[in-house]
Amino acid sequence: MTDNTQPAVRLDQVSRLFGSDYAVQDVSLDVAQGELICLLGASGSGKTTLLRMIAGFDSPTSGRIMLGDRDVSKLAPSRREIGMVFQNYALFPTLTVEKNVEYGLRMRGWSARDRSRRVAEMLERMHLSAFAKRRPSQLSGGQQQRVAIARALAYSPKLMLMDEPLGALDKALKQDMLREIREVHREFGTTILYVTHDREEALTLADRVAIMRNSKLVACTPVTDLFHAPPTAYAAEFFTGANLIPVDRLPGAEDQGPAGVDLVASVRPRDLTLGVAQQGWTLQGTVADSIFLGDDASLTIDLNGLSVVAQVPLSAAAASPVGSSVRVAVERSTIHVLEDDRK
Amino acid sequence: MATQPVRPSERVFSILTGIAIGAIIVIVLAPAVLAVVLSFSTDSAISFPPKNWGFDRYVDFFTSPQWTDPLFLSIRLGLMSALLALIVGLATLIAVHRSRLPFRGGIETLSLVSLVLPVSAYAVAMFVVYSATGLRGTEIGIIMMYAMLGLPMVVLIGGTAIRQLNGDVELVANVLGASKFRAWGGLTFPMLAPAFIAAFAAAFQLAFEEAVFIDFLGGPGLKTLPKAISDSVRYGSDPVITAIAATLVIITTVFVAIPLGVARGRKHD
Amino acid sequence: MSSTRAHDAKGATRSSGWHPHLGPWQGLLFAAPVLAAIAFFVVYPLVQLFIQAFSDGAGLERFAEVFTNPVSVRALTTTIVDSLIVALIAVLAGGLIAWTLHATTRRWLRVLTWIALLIPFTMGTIVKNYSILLLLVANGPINSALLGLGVIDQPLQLLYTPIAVVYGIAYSLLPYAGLTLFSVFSHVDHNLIASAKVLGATRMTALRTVIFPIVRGGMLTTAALIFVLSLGFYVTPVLLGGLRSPFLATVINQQIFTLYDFPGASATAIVVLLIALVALGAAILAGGRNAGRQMLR
Repeated sequence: MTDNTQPAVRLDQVSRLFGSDYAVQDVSLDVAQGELICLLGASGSGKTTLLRMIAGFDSPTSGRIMLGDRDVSKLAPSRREIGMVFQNYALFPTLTVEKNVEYGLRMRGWSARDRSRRVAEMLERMHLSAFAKRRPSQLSGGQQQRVAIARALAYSPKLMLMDEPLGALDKALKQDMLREIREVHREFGTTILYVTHDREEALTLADRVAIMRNSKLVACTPVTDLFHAPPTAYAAEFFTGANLIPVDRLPGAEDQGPAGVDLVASVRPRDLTLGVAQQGWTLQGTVADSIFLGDDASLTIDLNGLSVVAQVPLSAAAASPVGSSVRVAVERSTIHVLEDDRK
Repeated sequence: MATQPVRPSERVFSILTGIAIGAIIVIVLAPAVLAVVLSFSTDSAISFPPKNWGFDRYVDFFTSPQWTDPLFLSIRLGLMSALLALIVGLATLIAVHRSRLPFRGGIETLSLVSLVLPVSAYAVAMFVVYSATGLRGTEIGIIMMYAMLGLPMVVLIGGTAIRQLNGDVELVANVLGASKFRAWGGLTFPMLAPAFIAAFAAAFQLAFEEAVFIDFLGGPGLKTLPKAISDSVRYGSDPVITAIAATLVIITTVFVAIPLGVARGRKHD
Repeated sequence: MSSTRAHDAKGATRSSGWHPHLGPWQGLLFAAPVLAAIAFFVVYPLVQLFIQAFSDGAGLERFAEVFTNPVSVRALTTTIVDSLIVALIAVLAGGLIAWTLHATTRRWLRVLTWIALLIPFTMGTIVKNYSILLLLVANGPINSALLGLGVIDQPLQLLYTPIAVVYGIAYSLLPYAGLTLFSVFSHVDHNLIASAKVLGATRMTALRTVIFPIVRGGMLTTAALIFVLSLGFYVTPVLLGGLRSPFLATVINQQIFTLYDFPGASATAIVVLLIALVALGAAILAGGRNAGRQMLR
């Protein structure tokens, strides 16, 4: 981390009203230099609207957006020193790959020699040198996205915005691109704001994850913390796929959580085992479904109306086929008792 | 996808529709084919089937000023009015699709009005206006009228193409440092080039073969090719007309129908 | 919830801040040419039509004239009836062509049909009508063929009949019908008929019960459009119909070029526009706005 402790991006109570509906409501967030933050949320949560405001395509109804020490809330995108990558690549179809990557440099008045040097450099780093003279229509999806990234990073922007960039790619390609984006982040050290609805992408890439829900920012914590100590029930369910068990099923659990609110115990499928709990609770139920995962199996278990998912080794699953009665062990050490904020 | 008919009623249906399509194609191609066939006859009067064959009528067409003067006038008027339509149309497209002007949707619809107005009524109305403003019988008057008729082509074809563009392309250009106009000029406009060429060709075609307004709004010295042909037909038909007809069919088929067909075909596939 | 807003809360409208599009005033600047064109070439002429028709106070009599004078009444009924026939033919033939283009898999048929569809578009107005004239004339190919085959023993009078006019107008308008219907059909999923067939329907039933309800609105709007366009046709009725099969356009032609009756011509023109307006209004009410949008895409 550099000695410049000023945040790369500061959002100060940013809101966007459309008529009387909030698309984004009072979002405040600091992004440190060189950080990769994932803006994670379901569709309609406001993450894209927020990103567009940071890019400059829209202005907030109230609040401020600061990039470095500048208030850019009403500034045109061209003056914000940012780079952007879209889900549909948005490459310039009438220009070659070279000219696409060169575009930002041309707009900033770089000399022809500097431009060609930098373009060659970027193409090399993104493994695109062979395609320099091709048109975007002649490239595959993954190649097009790499061109888009090269184009965005060519003039070394202070901030890079990525709007669901892997949405149009198939699963295998996504994995490759995720690794490339990680490498790009490491190599260039750019601050990155990455919007997605896919929690696996967030897991792979993010330093911190900012969860958006219904136009509000619900949480912003480092990935590991989010995983092991989720701040709210929604975050736990959405991000980790945790089971949420009402505390009345686990007598005594409410002591572990805040007082005065509806409580729910979050426990990850991996932490549920079949058998008797050593220090916790044992619940009775029937196996409703069993899904083969390779090394493990995912069992959907019906506990008297409450459905939970347990991830168990194949041997355990084999002993408890669909329809059989099982005992589920919930260990005290594996649960997080949280406020139930799912409404 | 199965296209084989299995039941007798289906087969009958297929045959009937097949015959209908065939009949339509024949009925549509007949006049064009006839014109082309007759153009190669050298009989002194038009008769079918032709008894003598030759290129005489084409020679007559391209060598007599009686026909080449109207031809060049039509070409000139066509090019200038199509250009004017393109310029006004371009400005209109910017106002409708890239600005926040209120009622811009209504303006787009209004710009298409000259396409739908019944020609005979419209011609009377323009006759009255042009007579009152002294534009009747002037070349600039005809060019403006033809541009007005060609404008819907630009707005329609250009508008369809703009709607199909990826809007993010311009946003990316903005982020990369381009101003709005720079992005539109350097990126959007080239992407729309095929549409503008098609629109220009359509507007030119419309002006080139226009035959109603030239009667109402024209005058001496404004003898376009359609006017020359219709005068000739009205006062006894000159066989050269078949050569003109055939030439126009072939040229416009090559320059308009085929590109349009190819473009549509590619989109369909 | 903090209510301290750094900027004035103007609600949805904010005057500052960058926007990807131009502002309203800049937009007005770019719209100025077309607005001027609409004012001079649409609004002003329509106003002038009314002024002319009502000049020297005899306006209402002139309109009555249009509906009482035997010549113009004949032209009126011919125009309306023939235009309805043209609309019907154009939609049926255009629909058949558009469906063939949409559904066929044979490349040669598709190319041939495209050429057939676009040929009337590409022939000039005069050329088109002249060629049809040549086709229908007494010593033309149709009569020669029929005479030669012994079907008739005297050449048929095809020219200057309603048949000639309807043929001519339908010929010119077929591309419009075909293209708009092609647009409408292109939004019909190819798999709909296959699904219906799998469920047991014959091709005809599938077309009738599944496809037709979807495209019905678009076809109605197309028919209305063709009707309106046909009403105003000028060259075809004058050239192919003559005085024996007059359209309102023929009457206008006489009024302007022979009788120099400009107020009378204006009145007739207004009647044409009124009929067109009524037809469009009826179509919009019947088909709804969606049909129009279907066509525009």
